[in-house]
Amino acid sequence: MLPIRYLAGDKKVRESYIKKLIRLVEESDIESLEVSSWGRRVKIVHSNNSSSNGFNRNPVALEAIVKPLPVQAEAETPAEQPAAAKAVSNLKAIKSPMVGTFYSSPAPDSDPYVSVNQRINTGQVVCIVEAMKLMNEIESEYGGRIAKVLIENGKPVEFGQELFLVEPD
Amino acid sequence: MNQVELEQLADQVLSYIRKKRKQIFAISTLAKKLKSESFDIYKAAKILKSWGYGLKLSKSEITFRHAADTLSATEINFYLKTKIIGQNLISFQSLKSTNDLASQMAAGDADEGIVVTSEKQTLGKGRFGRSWYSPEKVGAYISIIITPKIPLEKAPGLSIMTALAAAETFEKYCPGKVKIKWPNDILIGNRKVAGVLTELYTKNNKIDYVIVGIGININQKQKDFPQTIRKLATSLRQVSGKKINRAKLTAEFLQHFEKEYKSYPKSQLGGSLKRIRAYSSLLGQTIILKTGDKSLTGQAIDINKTGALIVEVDSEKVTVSGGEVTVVKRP
Repeated sequence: MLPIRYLAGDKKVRESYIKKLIRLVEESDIESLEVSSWGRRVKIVHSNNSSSNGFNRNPVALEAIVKPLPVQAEAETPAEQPAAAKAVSNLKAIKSPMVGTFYSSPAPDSDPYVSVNQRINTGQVVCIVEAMKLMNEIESEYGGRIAKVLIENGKPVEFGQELFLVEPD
Repeated sequence: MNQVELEQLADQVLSYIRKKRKQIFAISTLAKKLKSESFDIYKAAKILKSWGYGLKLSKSEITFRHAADTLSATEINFYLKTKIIGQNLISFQSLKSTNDLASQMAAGDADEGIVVTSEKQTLGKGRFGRSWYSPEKVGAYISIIITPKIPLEKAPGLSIMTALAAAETFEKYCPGKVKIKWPNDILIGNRKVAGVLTELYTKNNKIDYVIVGIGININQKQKDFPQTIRKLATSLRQVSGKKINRAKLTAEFLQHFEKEYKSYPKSQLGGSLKRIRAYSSLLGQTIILKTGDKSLTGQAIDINKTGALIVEVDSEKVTVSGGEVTVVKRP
């Protein structure tokens, strides 16, 4: 059914077969498809399963945003109380890896990536630092809770400047 | 033969006759060369016609007349002279956004130089969720995956580097008229002809991959632009007065990009500053720079090798790496 054999040995992956592969992906339930031949690889991802703005490319992070996580929050409430005392010294900073401008949301009229008290996962996008129209998504190195946002939307940031404080799990 | 096999045969026939315009090929000869039947070659030629290729076709002969006006991988590849950039080339009829698809492809396992193109974009991206008007058949929407081995802080200059590659490409079609509006727009006659959107993806605070996206207005007529941007946008065709081969232009852009990109890790923009300055629409102008809610007025005096704009404000030099720039109109 798949015209994979036509890809084999072909220097370039041909448009018409890609189209077919895409149709196949669209018509089925598969999320993505990767064809590999002679070191050439094609991966086709179902657009319904991808976000429209592209900034939330990490599916783990996306889930974390979408799910309100009521069950987890409940389970964690008792554990949080004793932890609170030592939490002050435990806070970890998410720093800016470059000079630029801090943006808290993917678009001016959309919600910020994260806000205070929100739970985040390791690798979750927390903001954008822009320099010369290069958009750099900043991911958290820590999983935990946003304890403090240290900077306002649209403000310039320096290299290594602390942007958020996170209370790690 | 089923449809898929016939389309594959059509590709083979095309690669055979593509380079020899106006030469008459006997269908029987092609059938022999491609180990196929004459009536299948005939059907394959019909498919090529349906793809927009200009062929003179009889029961016994095929003559190639002109290529299809398409941004297909086959067509771009025909003109491509790069070593890495675009050697893996994937073209689509329609995508939400070439940057998004390229990013999905690169996530986890990015190969340097993969290029994604689309005939149109249904959700063409500008910065911060703004859109890029991306109609069918008249533009080029291109995203390049690169994995530069450079520290993160050196990445921002890639936007300007890409704008320079685009300006150099357009210069051939509209000599002396192309300008770069720092840092990511290409203007002709003060109207936008192309825009660059660069997205950086990091892992452990190192560059994982970078998606360099560009949207180019190529063959639009003025009335093709929506009312809202009609006075702000232009196309290469409008300025040059000629319809332009989009696949060829794309291949030329990729070649310019590869050339600029090759020297970037070592010297950043060092080797191209002269050309960047010459193309710049801002240098020497009084500008207003807005960053968030802050605004600053001064004279744009230089661009340095990191790509930052040097602005003189009250005889003090300020290095600017972000924000929105507007030129102050002289009375």
